[in-house]
Parts: sequence; structure tokens; C-alpha cells
Amino acid sequence: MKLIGIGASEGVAVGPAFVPQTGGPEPERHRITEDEVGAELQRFRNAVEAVVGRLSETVDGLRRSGNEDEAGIFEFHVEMAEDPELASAVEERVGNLESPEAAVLAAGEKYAAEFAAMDDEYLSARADDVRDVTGQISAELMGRAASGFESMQKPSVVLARSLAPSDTARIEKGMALAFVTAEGSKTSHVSIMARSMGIPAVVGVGDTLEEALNAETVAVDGTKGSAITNPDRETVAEFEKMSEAFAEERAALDEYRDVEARTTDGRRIEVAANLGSASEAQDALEWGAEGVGLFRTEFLFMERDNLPTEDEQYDAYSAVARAFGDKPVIVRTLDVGGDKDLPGIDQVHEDNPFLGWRGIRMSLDTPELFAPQLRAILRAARHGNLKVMFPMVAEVGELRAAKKMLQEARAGLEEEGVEVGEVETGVMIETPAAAVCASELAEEAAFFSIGTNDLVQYTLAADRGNERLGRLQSADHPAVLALIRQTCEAAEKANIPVGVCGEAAGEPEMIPKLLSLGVTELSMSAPSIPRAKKVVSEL
Amino acid sequence: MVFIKGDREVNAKSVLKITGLAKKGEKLTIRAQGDDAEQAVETLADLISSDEH
Repeated sequence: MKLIGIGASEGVAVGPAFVPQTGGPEPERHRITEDEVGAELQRFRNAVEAVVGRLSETVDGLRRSGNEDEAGIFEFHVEMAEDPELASAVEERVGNLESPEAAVLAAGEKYAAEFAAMDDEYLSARADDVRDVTGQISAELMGRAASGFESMQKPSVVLARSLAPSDTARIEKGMALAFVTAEGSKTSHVSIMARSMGIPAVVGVGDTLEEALNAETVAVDGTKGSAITNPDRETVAEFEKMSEAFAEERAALDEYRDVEARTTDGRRIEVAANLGSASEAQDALEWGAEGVGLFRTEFLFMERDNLPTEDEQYDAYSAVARAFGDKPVIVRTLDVGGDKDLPGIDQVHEDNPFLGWRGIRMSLDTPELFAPQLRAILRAARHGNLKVMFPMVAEVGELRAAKKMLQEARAGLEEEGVEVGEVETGVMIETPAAAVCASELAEEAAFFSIGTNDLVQYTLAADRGNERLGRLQSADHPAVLALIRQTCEAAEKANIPVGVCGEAAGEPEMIPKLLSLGVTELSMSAPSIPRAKKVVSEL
Repeated sequence: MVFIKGDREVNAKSVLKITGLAKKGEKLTIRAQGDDAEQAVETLADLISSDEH
């Protein structure tokens, strides 16, 4: 059987399946006797201490490997385990002759239910953290493992509905070959952990996972986002070969993570990451990103019933600005169109959303959407090196209008006495019109970034998502290359940098062509960075 | 030290209780006693009302 999901961590693996036991621990005893109370309370305190000790070790380990976000989660777990209110709730229950293992679960459940009932999505999700911690204390009291990972006998592929941070952290080093989960996205804990552990992961395979739980062997392709249960001998051999090749390639590329990319004739090429959300920043730095060439801001606006506030946007932009410090981070203003609903914005149905009211066109028409975003970027800019970039520009008038709104946002903030930072403004070159008018745009812009995916689609009149048009979906087409050349020439004349932030930027066979046309920066999905740096260094 | 919101009063040392109070834009009262109570309340109030968290 084949499971299809999201490739959340690159690589391939094949091995025996391991399914951790689900649900929290069941208390062995519910009641104790009067004369056991004192000893049981002492056992509870010891169990808390043991759990806190283990969690603290995890915090240290994560911090050493640079996973600050994940370390923060476990620090929160430590504080919950040591919580004085939790302790007094347990003491009271044990005083009433409840067993400590049952008491801690019941007390935890009370808080978990309170959290789960909160309106705030982030806070309600913390219910699982509470259950996670009290489950660990209860398991410790009963002298057994909370999630069964300790019973892993040999390196295995872990199959689970979802995996909590404490689950992944408790797995002994080298025991997990890969993760396959029913739930999750690229930014879930399990995905972040898998990438930092360097093992493949396929997440979000959905309910088909239930049928796979009885599998003996699983072959996982975390690059493509698929897994095969009980593979035949040929498939196993194929996966083993791929796994070896991948490991060799990764080891060979590792030394390139931290190099400054430079061609053999000394041309400095900045290799940066594309980010789809603020949580990807740390990962990108670990892959060797020298900046962010494209920070998409759509994640802030998706899957919710209200628009994000200026403060929320400020938090997200500041987090990335801080993570990258002096390294440049290019924030692209909102680029959605009729294909996605924005709460509170009057969008009409469009037959051709990719040729419709989107990107800068929509932003200029909806100051209630655009102004808070610009204000948030200006405020966040003082925490790092932020630049702002406008998408879907087709004529210089749009750039002028957007710059004017940015200027107004700055004036407004200054008047309010709010501190702002400097931001350069640039243009995303993704319409053929922008490429053709590049010299005019270059007079008004501090940088260009060529979005090759859309430039290809608009130049070749070929829908990006149409599977039959494969041969018309590459930047390696004379018309597209001519537009890139024209853009680079205009940029060179105006003495402004020009980057590429589409798929082409990370493709080894396209990099030499792009650089020969005059591109000075390449931005791509983070795992492609070491390979791109190697290609550049050998040119 | 305690946090007070509406008629709820919670132990400021309890992360479980505090998380239950966390919500932007709502009024929170802090009460403390001891030698450095005044300074502690001030520092904490600054920390909570700043948007740098």
C-alpha cells in the first residue's frame, strides 16, 4: 500500500514499522490507604524530579544543537511539571486517598480541559502539552514509559497519528529511521524535529495511516512525500540504494553549509532561503542561508476568520529579523488573489485569479489591508535588516504608489512616536511587463528579485498547475532567459542587485545560466542551499 | 505575588494558572508583598505590557 502525504524532511529510509502505544497511561491503582499517604507524596515528588531532570536534559540538548524554539517548548514543560498549583492539587487528592498516579492525571486533565476550551487557538493547543507532562509524571510513578518509545528494540520507522515533542525527544539516538504521521504539516513539531535529526519524514498522510499500522516493513521517501508498506524485495533494494546515495550526497554537501558562496573567479553570490512562515527561520540558518530572498507573508492571513493585527504581523516579522541579524531579509507584501478568501475583503469570483486582482493590485486598492502590513514591517525593521518587496508589479506607477503608501506609513508612525527602521524597497519581477520595463523600474527600486515560477507561467502562457504543460514550465526557455537578461542589464546599469527566488534558483543546471546573465543572489527552499553553494563554488 | 483578573486571583508562580489568564488586550492586576514588592510589580508590569515577548 502506498501512503501519500507531505515530504516534511528529505531523505529515504526502509525498516521495520514501530507504532507507539497511543493514549495516556492508565493508572494501576486508584486508591491508597491512610498510612500510605506520606510515602506516596514523597514518591510523587521524586517522580516530578525525575521527569524534570529528563526534560532539562532535553532542553540542553536542543539548545546545543541550535533548536531554540523546540527548547522553549520543553522549558515550558519543565515549568508545568514543577508547577506549585499542580503539586497542591495532587497533594489534596492524595490526602483524600487517591493514588498519586491517578491524582496527577486527573489534576492535569482539569487544566487541559480549561486550556482546550479557550478561544485562542494557540492556547487551546497547549492542552496536549499539559496532558503530555502529567502523563509522564504518572508513568514515572508506575515505573514505566509514557509513550512506549523505550520499548523500541531496533532502528525502526515510526508510524503514529501525531507525535508530541516529548515523544520525539524520548526516542533514543539512532532508533528512529523515519517518521510517518497522519496529521501535521511542514511546520509541525515532528517535521522540525525530523529535519534537525536528519531523518526523513512524511506527514499528513491522513486516515490511510490506520490501515498501515499493521505493516511489518515500511519504505519512506521524505523527499517525495510518500511511503510504501510491506514493500517487495526489489523496492527494498531500490530504497536502500537511494538511502545510501542520499547519505553520501548530504555528507559531501555538509561542508558547504557555512561557506560564503563565491565563483572561482571571485564573484560573490549570496545564497538565501525562501521562507513560508516565521517558524522556518532557524532551520534555514542551519542549512546555511545567508539571508532570506523571499519571506512570503501569506501564512499570516490563511486559515482564519479574521485578518491578522498589525501587532501579530510585527511579531512574525521581528522574529525573522532577529533570527537573521545583519543578514538581509526580503519581506514580500501579501500576494493573494481570487483563488483564496481573505476575511473582510470584498473579493468577487474571478475566472482567472492568476490574471486577476492580486498582489500589489489588491494592496493598493485596500489600504485597510496594506497599511497595517507596511507599518508592521517598518516597526520590525529596527530588529534586523528588513527589506520590502512588492509582488505582481506591471508598471512603474504601481511601484510609485506603493512607495508613497510606505512613506505615509512611516510618517504616521513617526508622528505617533513609534520607532521605525530603515527598509529598502524592491520589485518582484514576475510579469513580463515588469521585465520589459525593468530600466524604468530600476530608477525607483533598490533591488530586483525575479520570481521565475510566475515569470515562466506568464511569459509562456502556461498554467503552473497544468500537468500536461511540463515542457513549458521551465525557466530554461529562450523567451524567459531573454527577459531575465533584460532585467539584469537594467539592474546593472542602475547599479542595483538582482536576485532569483523561484525554483530555478536551486536547480544545479540553471544556476550557471542565471549567473552568466548577471544574477547576484539566489534564493531557494532551505535544504537546497548547500548544493547551490557547491555549484556556485565550482563555477 | 498574585495576578488578579476580574474576580479571579491566581498564584503568579504557577505557569498553568498564568497561561489560563493570558489573553491580549485584557486588564490584569498584580499584587505583591515583601521587601522589593514595588520594584517587582513595576518590572513585571513593564514586561507584560511591552509587545516584545
